[in-house]
Amino acid sequence: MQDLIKIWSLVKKDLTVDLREIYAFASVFLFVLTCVFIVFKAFDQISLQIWVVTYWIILIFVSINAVLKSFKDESSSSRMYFYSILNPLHVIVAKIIYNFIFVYTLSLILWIILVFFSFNPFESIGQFLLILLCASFGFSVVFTFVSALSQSGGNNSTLLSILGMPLIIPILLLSIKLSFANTAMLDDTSLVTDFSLLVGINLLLTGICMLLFSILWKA
Amino acid sequence: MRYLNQKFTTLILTLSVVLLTIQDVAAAPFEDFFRSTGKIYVVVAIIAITFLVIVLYLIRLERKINKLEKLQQHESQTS
Amino acid sequence: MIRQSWWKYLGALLIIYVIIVGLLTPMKPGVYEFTPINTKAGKSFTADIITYNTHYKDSSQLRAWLKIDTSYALLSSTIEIQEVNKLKVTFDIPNYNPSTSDVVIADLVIDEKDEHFMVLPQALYITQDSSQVDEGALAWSLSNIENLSENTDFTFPFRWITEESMRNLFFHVSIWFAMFILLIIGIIYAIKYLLSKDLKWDIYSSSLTHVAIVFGIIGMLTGSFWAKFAWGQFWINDPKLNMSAVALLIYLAYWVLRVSITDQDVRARVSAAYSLFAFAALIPLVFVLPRMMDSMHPGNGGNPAFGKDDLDNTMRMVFYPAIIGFTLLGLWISSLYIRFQLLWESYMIKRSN
Repeated sequence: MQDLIKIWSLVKKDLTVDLREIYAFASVFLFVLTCVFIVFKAFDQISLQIWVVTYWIILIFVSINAVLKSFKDESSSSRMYFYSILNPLHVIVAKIIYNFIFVYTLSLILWIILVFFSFNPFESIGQFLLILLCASFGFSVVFTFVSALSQSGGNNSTLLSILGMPLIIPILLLSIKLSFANTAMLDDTSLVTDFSLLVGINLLLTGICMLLFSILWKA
Repeated sequence: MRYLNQKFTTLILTLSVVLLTIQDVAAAPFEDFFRSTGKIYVVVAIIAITFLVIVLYLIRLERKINKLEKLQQHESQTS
Repeated sequence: MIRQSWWKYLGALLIIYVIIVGLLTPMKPGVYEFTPINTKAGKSFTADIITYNTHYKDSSQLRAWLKIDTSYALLSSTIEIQEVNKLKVTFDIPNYNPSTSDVVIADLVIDEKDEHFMVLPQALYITQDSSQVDEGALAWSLSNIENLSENTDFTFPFRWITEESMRNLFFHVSIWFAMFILLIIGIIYAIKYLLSKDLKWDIYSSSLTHVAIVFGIIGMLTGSFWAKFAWGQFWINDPKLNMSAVALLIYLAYWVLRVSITDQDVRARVSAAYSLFAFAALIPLVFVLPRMMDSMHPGNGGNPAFGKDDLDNTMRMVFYPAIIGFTLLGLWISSLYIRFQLLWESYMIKRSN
């Protein structure tokens, strides 16, 4: 219980910091809007397949931009301060949860914008929201971890995308497959296995992320 | 080292041009050769690729060792 | 261990054994070409067959069957030997197929008294206009496939399309296995580093991973070359191919990571953490996902003509030594790299003092 309260206060801290500097949200929102507009202009007629693939590609770029800054703006002095008073597990869990909320919101906004510009390809909205839930959790875990890595490697921003992109591929491929199944383009009988695989990957990565973060944090 | 890099780049460029030309002009004989005798030459080519890459890696390793040797020699001469 | 040489010699010996036995063992005879590939029920059907590794004479005692499932077989009416590896076989296809479907797929079985029998799976498509299952079943069960002659010599099975390039299994596939073994050992050292913070283990881990990347590149190159002649293209959209490409990408990122950080302790810590995380991301990618999708690769999903018993006991006797041999070779190369880096390290320390 004590842990949960601490984690929640950390999440709230991140939220207030980001809300205070509203330009962060605004820039991400603008990024999404521009991407969608370019795609919409480039393809006159958007087919189902293009819709789904575009959605996910835009989403990973948006979320990589959004998440990767999560350890960036912490100066070394504030880090030292945090280090002295916080448990690394709380920090990483709070970051993952905060980024998860952020990415999930972004993905919903992106979906609404795309639907507004074109159409909604999905048969079952509930299932799609579930896919988004799993995928954005995976995105948030992987990108948070990579962001932590690059921060302890001296905040090298090129490192972020190089390390993050390959790691996200399994989660991304599974989500794309699941969303194809949802558009009835693909007759898929292995929905349950795919979902459990996605959840399994997420849990595995979360566990390892938590384990390794305390090691990275101590240094 | 820069000179070496340039040489290497030139080599790769030439090789790729040659390979592309071969593919253009003689695509069929090239493939026919590998398809002949039950495709045994595919196996030969694959063994060749395997050892080529390993040897390239070993050459790279040896260069590094040479560098270390030179540094150490230099050190012992100056001291 | 790292300075002992017996295991290095063992690795070299195993690879020599693999090259010699893997290349010199003959293939069993097999069907190279079979035309035409479809016919209608109730007609007399003549096929031109080119075989591989056969030595037919006029006195050869040949028999040929068409086989549907395991229970139905049809003996050929005439067999004409044209050359040592060329046959003309005529079948009188019964009026009805032994099933209700429009098309049945028959396998071809050819047996010669002195040579090993051969099977061409899914050789012939037989179409029928109307169906009479009972009559068809009766006509198709007049003959049995029996007394097949077997050659018990040490030979590799013949597979259609792969043919002699089947031997690539000992090189291409075992290189992939060796790569994974090296990666796993590298991961173990990465964990060891994280627990002890001793830079020596970081050198062990990174060297093993580097050699594993080299092996991965070899596996990729050889695989795409083999694919060109087995499947017609250098790269096809196959889950196993894509997954191994992703795996390679992940580890190339590892390499970039190590190059980009200059501080030793930071580099060691970050790259050990990354390699652990990457390996966890890789497990579903390489071991779970491809098993769930259809693949051109044999074994799991799809491609029945290739999947059955293509790793028979004779090939196992070369394949397993090949895995061990290439793993030992990889360990040998990485041990050289490790020793070099340890020397470099001690030299740098000496110089800075």
